[in-house]
Parts: sequence; C-alpha cells; structure tokens
Amino acid sequence: MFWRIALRNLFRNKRRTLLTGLTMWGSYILSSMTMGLVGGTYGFVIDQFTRGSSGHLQILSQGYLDRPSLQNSLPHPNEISSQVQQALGQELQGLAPRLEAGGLLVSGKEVLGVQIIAIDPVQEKQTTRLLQQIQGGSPWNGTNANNGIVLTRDLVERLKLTLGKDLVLMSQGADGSLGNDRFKVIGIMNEGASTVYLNMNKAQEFLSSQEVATRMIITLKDLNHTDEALKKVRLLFPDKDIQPWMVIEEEFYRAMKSDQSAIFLTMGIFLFLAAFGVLNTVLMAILERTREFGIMRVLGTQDKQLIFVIVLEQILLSLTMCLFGALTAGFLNIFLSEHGIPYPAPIEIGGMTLHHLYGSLNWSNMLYPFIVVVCSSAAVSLIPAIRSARLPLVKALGER
Amino acid sequence: MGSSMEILEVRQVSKTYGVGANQVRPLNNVSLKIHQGEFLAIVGPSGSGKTTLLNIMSGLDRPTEGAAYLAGLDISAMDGNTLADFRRDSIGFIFQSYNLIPVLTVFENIEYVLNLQKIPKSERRKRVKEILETLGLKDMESRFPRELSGGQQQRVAVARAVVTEPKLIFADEPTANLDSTTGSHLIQFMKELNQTRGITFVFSTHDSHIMSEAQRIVSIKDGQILSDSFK
Ligand SMILES: Nc1ncnc2c1ncn2[C@@H]1O[C@H](COP(=O)(O)OP(=O)(O)OP(=O)(O)O)[C@@H](O)[C@H]1O
Ligand SMILES: [Mg+2]
Repeated sequence: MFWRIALRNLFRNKRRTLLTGLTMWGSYILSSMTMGLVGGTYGFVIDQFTRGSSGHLQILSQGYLDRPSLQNSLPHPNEISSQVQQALGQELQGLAPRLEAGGLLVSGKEVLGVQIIAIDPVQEKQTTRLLQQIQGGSPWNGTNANNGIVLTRDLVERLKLTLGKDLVLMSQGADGSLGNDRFKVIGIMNEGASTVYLNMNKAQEFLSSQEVATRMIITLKDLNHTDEALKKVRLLFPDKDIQPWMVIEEEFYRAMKSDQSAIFLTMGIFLFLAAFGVLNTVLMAILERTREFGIMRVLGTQDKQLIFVIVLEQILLSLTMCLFGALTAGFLNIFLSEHGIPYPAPIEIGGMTLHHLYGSLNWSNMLYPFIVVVCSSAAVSLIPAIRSARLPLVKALGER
Repeated sequence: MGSSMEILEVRQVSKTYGVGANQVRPLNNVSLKIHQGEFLAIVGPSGSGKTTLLNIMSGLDRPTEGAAYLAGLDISAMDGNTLADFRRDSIGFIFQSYNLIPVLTVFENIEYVLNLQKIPKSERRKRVKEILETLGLKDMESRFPRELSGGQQQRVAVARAVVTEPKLIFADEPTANLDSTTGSHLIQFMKELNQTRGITFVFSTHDSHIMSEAQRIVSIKDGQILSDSFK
C-alpha cells in the first residue's frame, strides 16, 4: 500500500517529477561519464607510462629500494622468470631482468658519474617499450653486441659525443674489484638524464655479477590486474620485495592522483548543486502535501511509515532514472573507450601529450554514480520527511 | 440513554495560544463526560472553540492544562506513536473537507486503516465491500476522490471512519461543505450507524438541522460550556 501511494504520488505532478527525474538522470550521466573519462584517459596515460620502463610490478631484493647495491641483488633471474610465468600464466605480458650499478664515464678529459642499467634486449622488448625510445637502430647487434653502449641525449650533448664514438666506463663489481672497459656509442635514449644502458651479458661480466639481476620488471596484459598479480607474486616469493608501479613510480602516481582528485572535486560540486535542485522540488512536493500526510497520521500511520512513504517515492524515482542513466552512460562510455573524443587543444598529462580523451566502462563507474544518486535523493527527501512526521498534527491539518 | 458506560472525559481542560498581550484562550476550564452510544453535537458560534475541544478529545492536540481520558486512558500523556496506534484502532475521524487520500481509490481509502492494522486481505475485502454496500457506494469503489461529488466523498470518509468499527467517531462540521439535503442524508447515515452498531458520535456543527437530530447538545461560547442538554 505504501508502495502504491509512493508510486502514484510520482505521477501526480508529472512535470515536476520529470524535472526532478531529469536532474537525477543528468547527475548519473555526468558522474558516470566523468569517472569513465578520467579512468579511461588516466588509464591510458598510466598504461603508456608504465609500459615505457617501470613495468606494472617489480621484484626486488629486500631493502634494495632504500639502499640499492650490487651486493643486494636477485640471484638466478631465469628461475624467477619461469616461476612468475607459471604463476601468472595468460595474464603476463612480459618479464625482464635489469642490473643496475653506479659508474664513471670517461670521455676525453671529462669524467661523469652515471647510473648503469643493463638490459636483456630480447626479454626487454617483450616487456617494455624501453628499446623503442632508443634512437639509432637496433642496438646490441652483431659486432656491437657486447661493447655497445646507449647514452641519454642529455649525456651525449654534455660530452659532445656522436654515434660510433668510443668512451671508457669504470665501475666497482659486486666482489669489490674495479673494472674498466672501452665501449662504443650505439644509440641515444631520448628520456632520462645521467643513465647509460649496457647489454645484460656484458654487464654481468663487467660488474662481476654473473647470474644476478637487481630488478625483475613485470608487465601484465591488463594494467587493472596489478593488485591481483601483486598478491600472487608476493605469495610466490615471500622473502623478496614485490612492489607495484604505484610504489616504484611514487611521484608519478601521486601526480596522477592529485590530478584526478581535482576533477572529482569539481564533479562533487556539480553533484552538490544538482542535489540542491532536487531538494528544492522535493521540498515543494512534500510541503504541498503536508495536510495529506497529516491525515495519514490522523488515521494511525506511524512516523516511520510516513517517512518511508515519502523517501520511497524519491528512491523509486532515482532508481528508475539511474537505470535510464546507466543505459545512456553505458553506451556513451563504450563508444568513448573505442573512439575517444578529440580534445580541442592537446593536453599534457604525466609528460604525455594527448589529443583524445578516452572513456572507460567498468563496474565502478556504473555502480558509484548509482549509489551516489540514489543515496543523495533519499537523503534529500529524508529531511522534509522527518519534518512532516514531527509536525504537530493540528498544524499539519491546518495547512493547505 | 440506557448505557452509562463512560467512554470519554475531559477534566478542567484549557488551551492557550501565544504569550502576554497576544494570548488567546480558545478553551477555558472545560469539563465534560461522554458515554458510550451517545450522539452528541457541540454547537457554538465561529471561533467559540469547537474544533479545539474536539481535537483535544480525540488526541490530535494536547491541552495546555487539564487532561483528556479516552476509554480510561490519559491520552494527553501518550507519546506520538502510541497515540497513533490508539487512533488507528479505536477512533474514527470525519472532517469538514473530506480529507480522502487523493492517490487512493474509494476502495483503497476505506481499506487504508485496515491495512495499517495488518488485517488479512480477504477479511479487508469483505469488510470494505460490506460498508460500501451499506453506504450506497458500491459503483464507485474504483473511482478516485476527485471523480466524486462532495457528498459522495464525505460518505467515503464516513465509510473509512466506520470500517474499523471504532468505539468513537469524531466529526468536525461534517456537513458544512454540503448542501442541506446531502447534509441531512449524511446525518441519517451517521445516526443509523449510531443506532445499529452503537458507535458513539461526537460532532461539531453550525447546522440547526443536525442539531435537531442530536440526542445531546453541548453549547459552548468563548471557550466555555454554556449549556448541556439531553433530549
Ligand atoms: N494555532 C492557533 N493559534 C492561535 N489561535 C488559535 C489557533 N487555533 C485556534 N485559535 C483560536 O482559537 C479560537 C477557537 O478556534 P476554533 O477553531 O476552536 O473555533 P471553532 O469553534 O471551531 O470555529 P469555527 O466554527 O469557525 O470552526 C479562535 O479564536 C481561533 O482564532
Ligand atoms: Mg472549527
């Protein structure tokens, strides 16, 4: 009976119901689309960024992140590889070892401190796009397989080097021995400052670190599975430090987060305004029926039953409008995740220039707007509902 | 009348609105006892305090001083929800302006309180049908209030008040919005229910015709009882 009253009350002032309903519908679409676009665009940026170099997960030796050292490395990277492959199966995109150490670069009279990163070109290629960022053909091929070195553009410019030039690299091996060797510049890395890249085989020998790596980089087919994969890998190596990209690239992660919170804050303000609009019409609808609600109470309707009828009306409306909203926003989100919308001026997010915004469709950007819209509709009607139930009966009956 | 069971009593009831110079006192130290089965009219000029007295007797309003007892219970001391249950189960209401629930049909309006009482559906149907028949509303059960004349709406209101078989029905100027023929028909209905079912009726009126039907007339003026006469 209360359901019947609530439902029929909705059809009494169709224009007002429509207006309220459209506000709810609009709020749903606005929030769902914002979440979709933010998720899609930032997801795209994060995916590009992590696949660039850091990967989605990294396996490190305990304590390595705080105190990187060759002495604190991962033995038998190949074994780790095959275990991870087994555990992650289809989810795994690629997995690559890295070996890192500090070194000195000597070129002519110049001596510079550099970070040495050794990579396995074959595995790296399956895992990240690091190699694609190197200018100068495919490095570590043929005669240059061993003594080739890749420098950042920054270093090349500072040392006034060009491709094909020789230089000397010095470093301390894991056993404490000092090594130095002559290398030939075979590529230029566009990103980064004082980093040089060596071939893994050569570097292990050069740094007296046979059969070890300092990091294992893991990329997944789907970035969104990072958390689950993280759990699996942690289970696999309880004695190692396994971290997601959010920790490894903390600064980037924080920048992404604060960008997004600014957008969500704006959305929140819009929703608040919309709720205010709904409050207004709901208030009118309820005040208008003060007398009627008074009669229901005279007849013996309990306070909580009356509140139920009033709130139910708005919940029914918001549920219906959210369903329509879900259909509309779902369709738009799918469309935008496939086609994107061209953005008038290119925007830069996380060092990446974008010409399109992308949508995304997932449970959270369907469900959260649903919860937000339905709950705020209920909350907005709750206040006048409680007032109606508390109003002295004589007053309620006196009002027209 | 034969029955002397007391069903309602107000004891030295006063009602005050406002403070200081703005103070009004629509009821001033009124005491009244009403017995089961009475058909009682409260009469008096406009503003004399009829509505105020009815509201206090029926538990819609609380007195500033004094107390009201319904079936031996002090209703001026009951909390809102207890009072709501009490009204639902023991009292019927009829108003000047019908006050049906506009989104419910005639049938559903009458059924409403039975619903609150959680009476099973088949029993509800039976009782509503029966009262519709008695009041000649059978053909209108699926109409909405706005599709009825004032007299018809008021008959539905009577049906709604009666269907729960309350001990007591309060009617505040039930015929004021009706023409005299419709009004006296309605009073006939009420009188019949009073006689056949023993329901106590307490109503207020300006209408001399209704007054003539009443078995007891309490006349008030300026918030005080002027006379109390039985037929
Ligand atoms: N909420 C209120 N605040 C102030 N004064 C009130 C209030 N309610 C009623 N009164 C006053 O109390 C007096 C009695 O009012 P009441 O409605 O009981 O009269 P009544 O006999 O029912 O009149 P009528 O025949 O016009 O219905 C009036 O003077 C009225 O102005
Ligand atoms: Mg009155």
